[in-house]
Amino acid sequence: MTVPTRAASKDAVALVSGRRRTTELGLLILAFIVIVGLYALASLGRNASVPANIGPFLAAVLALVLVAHLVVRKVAPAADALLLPLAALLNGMGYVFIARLNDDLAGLQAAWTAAGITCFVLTLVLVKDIKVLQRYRYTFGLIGVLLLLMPLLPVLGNEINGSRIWVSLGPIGFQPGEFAKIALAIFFAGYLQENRELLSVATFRLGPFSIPDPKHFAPILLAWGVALAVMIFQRDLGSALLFFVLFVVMLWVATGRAAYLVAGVILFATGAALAYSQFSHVQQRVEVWLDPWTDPQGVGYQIVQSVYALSWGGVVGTGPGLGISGRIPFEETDFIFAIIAEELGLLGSTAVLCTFLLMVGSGLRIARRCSDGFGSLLAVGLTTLIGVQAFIIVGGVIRLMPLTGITLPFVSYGGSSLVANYVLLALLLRISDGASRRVPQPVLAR
Amino acid sequence: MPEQLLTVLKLCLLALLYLFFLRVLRAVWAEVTPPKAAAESAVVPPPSKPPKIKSVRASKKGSVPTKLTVVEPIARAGADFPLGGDLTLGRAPGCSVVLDEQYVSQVHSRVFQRDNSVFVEDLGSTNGTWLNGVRAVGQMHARPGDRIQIGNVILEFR
Repeated sequence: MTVPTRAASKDAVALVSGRRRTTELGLLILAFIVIVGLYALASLGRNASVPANIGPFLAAVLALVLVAHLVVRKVAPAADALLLPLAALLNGMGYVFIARLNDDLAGLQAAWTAAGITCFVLTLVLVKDIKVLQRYRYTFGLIGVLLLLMPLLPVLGNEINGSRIWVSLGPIGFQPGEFAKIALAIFFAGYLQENRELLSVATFRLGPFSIPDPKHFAPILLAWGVALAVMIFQRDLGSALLFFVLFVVMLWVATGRAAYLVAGVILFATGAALAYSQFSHVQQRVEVWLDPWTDPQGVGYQIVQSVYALSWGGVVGTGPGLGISGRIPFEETDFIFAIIAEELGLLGSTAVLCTFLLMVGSGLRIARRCSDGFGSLLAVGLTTLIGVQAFIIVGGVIRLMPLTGITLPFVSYGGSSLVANYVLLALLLRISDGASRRVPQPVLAR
Repeated sequence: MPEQLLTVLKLCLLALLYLFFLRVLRAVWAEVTPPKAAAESAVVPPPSKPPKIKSVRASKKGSVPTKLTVVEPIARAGADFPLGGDLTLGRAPGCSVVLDEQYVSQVHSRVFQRDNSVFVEDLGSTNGTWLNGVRAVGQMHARPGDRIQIGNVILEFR
């Protein structure tokens, strides 16, 4: 009786794959129409004319979208249908607003998008099975830490805008930290999967508390400690926060112990208090967050202008290309969300947030359906990276929390970030494809 | 370009954007609630339903099972383990039947023969051992055609 089941399950996978790819193509076309419409409208608003390069733009966007879709169809046919269209929409919207703000950066961003799609394709083609990554977990851990350390090297490293997170290789500058996040997520997933049972039982007594044996913690604490120390030393607070959350969430999901969350919150509070008392730039960030109007022309300038942009946008926005550009420093990277909120209003900025929400939903659904522990954990980690990174920067821009400059995934200008996020997306699709091929079983006994 | 026209175009664009989300939500809905006829649920019957649990081989009831066959996961379906003496099932490498799958405990359960009958016993596993959809308590009698579920692995006595 196993033979017909097997043949039938193959048919079932083919059916699911077909349905998913059709959905994906439909959504990609819709996203394409939105992007092109937005591009034309931004130019109409700004120059009162349809952009001269609308033809090449159409062709380029269509080509990139179709290449990505066809490759997924070929090498990961059973993968989730929503992630690629959502990412394409974010990337396209981001590009339109970058092009509207700064023509030079737009050309670069277009090149980076092409590079991102190339890396997306390469990752999907090279990583045939996500379990291969599990075998090299320690290698990835080492690579992650080395990537983080790269900017500290005397010749390669570069300090830009007070953060030493850049590496220059000839004319190309990039932020290795963006790739380090993925490498370390792979390491965490592999290590936690291997030791999840050891880490979920408390066998070691420490005063009145029982904690899991510290020797099982040592490697992960080491990697985490080094990474955090490096990021704080490089003054890259946003990445440090992102990384901290990633670590706590993965530990919690792997072991199912809420105590790790509590410990994480306590550690974070201690660390934040310590950072506040020790570093003047942390104090300044917090003060600007609490009251930017004490120095609206100085340190509070960015935040004040960002809040004005949000309020000026209102519900439906001023219209693409009709906002006041060029007033917020770093508007193409850190503050792109404020520009979107100004020109597309509450509705448009909510759409961006919805996109991230749907991406996180898709990612967690992939994790839930994956029957392999490593793939499942990695999906949680990668989803956390996207979701929390978006939360940190949007929270900073709308003054929900102190501003820490990191990119808004897929939207902000930034080559390393874009390429790294496309690699991350490819890994999620690979996990999803693998999980669907095994035909997800309803787990009865829990 | 009149300002009104730009406003109208902008509103159209926003509507289009939300149409996109509507389509996405519809796709999500189709994913999380597969229709009854959808291939996924039709091909792999949820083993929890009692009528489906009983296999065709249940007709041989009364005789003594001689082997354990993996039914799920599909990837390992068809693997046989001959019964005889004491069998331990679990994730640990020392078990007689090693099942390296999620939700399987290190030493999960044991299958043994006594008085010409086969019994299944849970060994204090986290997720329990299920015999024909019922959680095993103590030593449970197993006949040919019965199915046990250990984590997400389902085995049939034959």
